[in-house]
Amino acid sequence: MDEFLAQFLIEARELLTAAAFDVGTLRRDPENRKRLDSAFRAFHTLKGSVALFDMAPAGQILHAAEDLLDQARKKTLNLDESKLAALLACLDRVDVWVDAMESQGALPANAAAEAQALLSRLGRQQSASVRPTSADADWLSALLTHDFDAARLDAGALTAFRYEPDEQCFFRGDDPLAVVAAIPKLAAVKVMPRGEWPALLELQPFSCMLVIEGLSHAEAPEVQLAFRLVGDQVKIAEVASRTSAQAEDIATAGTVRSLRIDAGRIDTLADGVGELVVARNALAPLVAEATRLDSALGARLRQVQAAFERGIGDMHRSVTAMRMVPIGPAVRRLPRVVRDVSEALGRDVDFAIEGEQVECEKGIADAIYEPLLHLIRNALDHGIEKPAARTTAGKTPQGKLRLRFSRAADQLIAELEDDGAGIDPARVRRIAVERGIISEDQARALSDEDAQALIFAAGFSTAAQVSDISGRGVGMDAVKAALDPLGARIDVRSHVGQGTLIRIALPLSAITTRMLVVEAGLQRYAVPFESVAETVIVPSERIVPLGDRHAVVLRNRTLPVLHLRELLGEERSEAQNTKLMVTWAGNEQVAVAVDGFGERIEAMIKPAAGLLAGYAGLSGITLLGTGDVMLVLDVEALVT
Amino acid sequence: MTVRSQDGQIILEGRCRVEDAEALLTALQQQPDGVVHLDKAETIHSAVVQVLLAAKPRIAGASKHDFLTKHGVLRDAEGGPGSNEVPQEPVSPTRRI
Repeated sequence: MDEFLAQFLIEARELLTAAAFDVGTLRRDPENRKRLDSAFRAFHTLKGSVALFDMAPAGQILHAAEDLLDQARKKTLNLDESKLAALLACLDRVDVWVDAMESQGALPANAAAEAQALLSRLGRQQSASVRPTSADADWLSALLTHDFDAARLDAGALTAFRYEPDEQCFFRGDDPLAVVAAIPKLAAVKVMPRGEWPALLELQPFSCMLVIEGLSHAEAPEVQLAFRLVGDQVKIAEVASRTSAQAEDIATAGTVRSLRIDAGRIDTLADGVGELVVARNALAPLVAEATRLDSALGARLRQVQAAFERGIGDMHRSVTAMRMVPIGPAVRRLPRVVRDVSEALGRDVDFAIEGEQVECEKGIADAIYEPLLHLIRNALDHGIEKPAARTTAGKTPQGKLRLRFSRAADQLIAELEDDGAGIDPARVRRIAVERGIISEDQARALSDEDAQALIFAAGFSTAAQVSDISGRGVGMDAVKAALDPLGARIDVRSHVGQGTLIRIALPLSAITTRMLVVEAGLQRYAVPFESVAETVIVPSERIVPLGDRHAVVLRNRTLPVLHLRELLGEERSEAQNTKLMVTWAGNEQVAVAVDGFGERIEAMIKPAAGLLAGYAGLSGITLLGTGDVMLVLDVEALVT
Repeated sequence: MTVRSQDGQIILEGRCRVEDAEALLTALQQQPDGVVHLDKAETIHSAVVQVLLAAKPRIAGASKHDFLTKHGVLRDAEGGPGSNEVPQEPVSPTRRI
């Protein structure tokens, strides 16, 4: 791809995200001056960047949107709900066009027509009559870019003016320069002729042809006051925040050094560090062996090993931090989806994302988008009711949908909450039985919470009629299928008539995994620590037959016992003591008997390929320091 | 009289009012190469400034008029005829290697 285009795609999307955030904030807090200025800058920069490409319709609507925001900043226009909605629609459209630039290299054929529709929504015609000429903006930009280096002036209030005294003003006793001289905090002045200076013989000494432009550090009303007698001949524009924004940019450029690096390179670095961690794992047994042979040598080796460990630990942390990104950009399209979908479904929804700055690993951030998209579609389709139904139920016609991100220890928590109809457990039970997911007896035994969680079961879809929106041939089980490989846990809390909260907990990082090595027969396997609740050694006689199975009582709880050898299709062995690894099968605990516990390792899990790929009990493979490959067991899949 | 003209020197003095624009213009039309002295001028009316800007005479001295001096309003008028010509750079001989 063209390097310019690639850069543009990144930057345009960042700007679109920033602008959408600002406009979204303005909807809730119309007086937020900071967000208004920020939105103006984002639209302005975006307009400038689309100009580099064949995207004229985008330039037109962004220009109109920028004008709208500029008028709002000058308080000559009130940004009402319809204007803010039009600004969002403008961003959505440009977002679609940016996608089109990426996939097709050009705007869609209907872009010009769509731009026209948006221009009228943005009140283009009306604004054109309010502002007599677009030359209005031209004098200002010429003044700032060519005549005065606005960025070099002190930051703070800055008001630009253009004074065109009428030709007869000298006869009325006006002295235009004296008027300008009286402007408080004058920063710069430029005097020029209206048109070209005539030859000296043709100059009319009493006909004024001066034009005076300048900048003042005073606020606009003070400048207006100075011009009060000649107000009709003066144009005034606030450039305050533009200048302070430039100053801000300059300040930022000086302090923050940043480098845009292709994510693939970071991945390569992370893989390298991962391999180092694996090599480090191989060092421990070697040091132990050396110590047995020569304790002095062993002691020295341990020192080196400790330094090595520290260095690798630091490096691992920095690489992990490097791959941490704020979640915001990954989910920036969701507001647009909500607007599109709620419009299509006749819903009125107030949607907001909170905690966009929470950081997680890039891979996690990217992977969470699809499941969240699906959950949001579902919430709009089946959760939030239509305005009429909401009113009947005694709710506000506008539904509320919140997506919150937060961090809890090593986990990223994503919560999606709506104030819709909730999930009816009785209905879920009935449907689950109808579709053969569970038996009637099982359905009766389920708690309401467990019944609600069934919406994520394979083959379940509560849609009375499959709509275009959420019924895309997959149910909510697709969400679970997408999140499971990331090590996510999903919880559902729902109250009928009040709404639903879906909580997803994901690991923040997934570079290396701590694992326990277990033995079964002659083979050694790795089991991720997160699936091991505890390890115990019990006398074999405490394992008692229970029906055709075995069980053990641990701390007054009876757990089923399974033998790893049998699970892997081998004969089980008998010994005086049994080593048990307690793990989970769903929410139940299960004890798995193994032949031995090995070391604890920290290594990357790579997806299994080839013949091993289809094996359900396997979550992947890991490379050991010795170069050996070890299979990583998916214990939960093995025992269920 | 605030505009005095003698021997190719045009001198502005005191408070230059709107009516002085005509006197200055006449003086500059008669002596296109005249040097305008501003150091004795206290205030200068816009109409007079306009004549100076249009005629671009050579200017000597800065006016006591703070506003004009501070913002360099008459900077464009300074230098006199020929000031727009690009000065010839001395051309250094090409060195042969």
